[in-house]
Amino acid sequence: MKKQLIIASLALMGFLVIAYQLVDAKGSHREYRDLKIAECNSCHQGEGIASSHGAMWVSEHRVFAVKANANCADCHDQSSCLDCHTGGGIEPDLTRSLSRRGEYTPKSHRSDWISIHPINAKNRPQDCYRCHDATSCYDCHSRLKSATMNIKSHVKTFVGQDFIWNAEHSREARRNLQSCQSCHPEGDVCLQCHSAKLSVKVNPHPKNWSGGKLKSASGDKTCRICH
Amino acid sequence: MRRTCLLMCLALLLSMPLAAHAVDMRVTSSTQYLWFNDILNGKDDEMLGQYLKMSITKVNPGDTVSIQGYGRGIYRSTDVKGADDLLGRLYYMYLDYRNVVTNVDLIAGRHYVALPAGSALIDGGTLNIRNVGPVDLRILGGRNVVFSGDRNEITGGSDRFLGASISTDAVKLTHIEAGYARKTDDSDLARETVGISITTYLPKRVAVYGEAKYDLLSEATNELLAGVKFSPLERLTLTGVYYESYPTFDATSIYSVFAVNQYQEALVRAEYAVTDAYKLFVSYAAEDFNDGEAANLYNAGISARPIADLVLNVSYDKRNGYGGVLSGFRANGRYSFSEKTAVSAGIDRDDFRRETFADQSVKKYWIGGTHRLNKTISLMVRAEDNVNVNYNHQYQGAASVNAEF
Repeated sequence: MKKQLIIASLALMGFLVIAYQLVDAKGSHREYRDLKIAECNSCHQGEGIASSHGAMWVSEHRVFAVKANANCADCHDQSSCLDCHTGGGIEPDLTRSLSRRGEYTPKSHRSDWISIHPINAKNRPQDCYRCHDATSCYDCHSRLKSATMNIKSHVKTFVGQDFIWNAEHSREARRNLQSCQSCHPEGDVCLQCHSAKLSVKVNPHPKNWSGGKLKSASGDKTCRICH
Repeated sequence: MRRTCLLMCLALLLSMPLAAHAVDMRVTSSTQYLWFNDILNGKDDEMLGQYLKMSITKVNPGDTVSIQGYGRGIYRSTDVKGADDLLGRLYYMYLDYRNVVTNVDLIAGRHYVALPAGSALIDGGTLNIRNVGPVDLRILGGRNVVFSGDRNEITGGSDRFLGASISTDAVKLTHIEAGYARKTDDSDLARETVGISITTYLPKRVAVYGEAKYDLLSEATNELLAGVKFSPLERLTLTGVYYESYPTFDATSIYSVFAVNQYQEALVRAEYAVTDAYKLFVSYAAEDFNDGEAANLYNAGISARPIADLVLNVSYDKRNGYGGVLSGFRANGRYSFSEKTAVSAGIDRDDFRRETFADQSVKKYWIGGTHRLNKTISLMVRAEDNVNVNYNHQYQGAASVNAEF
């Protein structure tokens, strides 16, 4: 089904590209760089070009920005990319809060982000990694008490119990394995049961796992952790 | 790190004598003072930051060479474990040389690169080769630079990012690009990906775009996105997006061998400009986390400019389903007293319930203003109060002196 969807999408795009006779090529935008976004539409929409920089441009700009001939630089410096993607804030924006290091926080990082981020991080889980590397989760989580980070598979039901090791933890991990890294960057807790070197030896691999190129990628170092 | 910075500065200084005629140098500076309560230790804290950005152009007669730089230093007296008092970041410092030879552009130094197969900040070079028949080529590589949290750079000399892409604009208003990226982690191969992106603008205000990224080591499609943007009326834009992702990890991480679920999302969105002064948007996204878990996201808002000097924004969003319930209301406005002075204020309110928590409400109130002293210098101040389960009042703010010369 997935393959058919991909093939159908690519075929549709190919058809659209070939079928339409297209109009004038894109020009430089340098002379318009000081215009307000609203003023861009007077030209774009009049010329039949779909508008960009709309209310949700943040979530859709990526595909347009990676192009070799992207004209972002006509109006933006690389600081526009890096102030969000690597943390910065040379042009303070009153509508945005600043982090404890004085960096822009995007709109998605809403009030009391510490409490809310476990919900928001589930939306498009890959998005966190466009600005944060895996270690940045651990930077905070390693400094906060684990009791404050209750999640379904870790909730204590009996006095003195540490975890609930039931099927819930595997479902949670499959849906958002990145979040496990937040507190267990080396996965040592997982290996207590999932390592082939220890007694329980619960297989953590996907179905039909062959290891493929992962086996040789790091000189087998990763495989040898458990085998 | 220190050696890299010194080399870059040296390269910059050596390039100066080339500019015997009048170069154009623009500098943007922002000196910032922040006060806040640090959630990690529960104490009030302060921070002083200095950002500096520069652009040197007209270095040579054809204006094909420019030098761009951007960095910051922050100082904070902190007792947070593992955090440095003094943090410096060189975001970029590169030489941009267009037409080094005909149709070949070179970028050398620290710069941000983005390919359909991945993006990175690198200490290295990018070569753009245009018009090789109907295609353009990009070849890039260098040390992979990663900043993290309260520490300075966390990558070393043997962490590298290499990539290449081939693209064509042979069909007007259509860009097709395929790329390859390879990342090493302490000399071990960590990631190897290929990606493709397509954007095309069709008549009748239609844009079609798509992107796919395949992880060669995990042998899985890491991300797939396909979208259509359509404006049936001059003031109405409709967007439909399908997105799916499959988490993959660096081959050097133990997490790369674990089973994971695919995530899928379908999104529709409408943006309508009632007049130039009133704009509405509404969107809905259906999320599927597999194993029978799903969530729905709703978002709507309005942006209004009832009078020339006043801008108002109001939005509401709601999420329910897997992971918890979250709804939020945001309202903010900006009033310009004159071309030099403006004041802004806003209120955010969020109600949420995580799986294992009771219902909670949080509020944020903020106010700020800007004032331009002259062509060169402007001032900004912003203060906010957060009311949540941890704090009755959590104040934080920032004041900055900004200069452009």
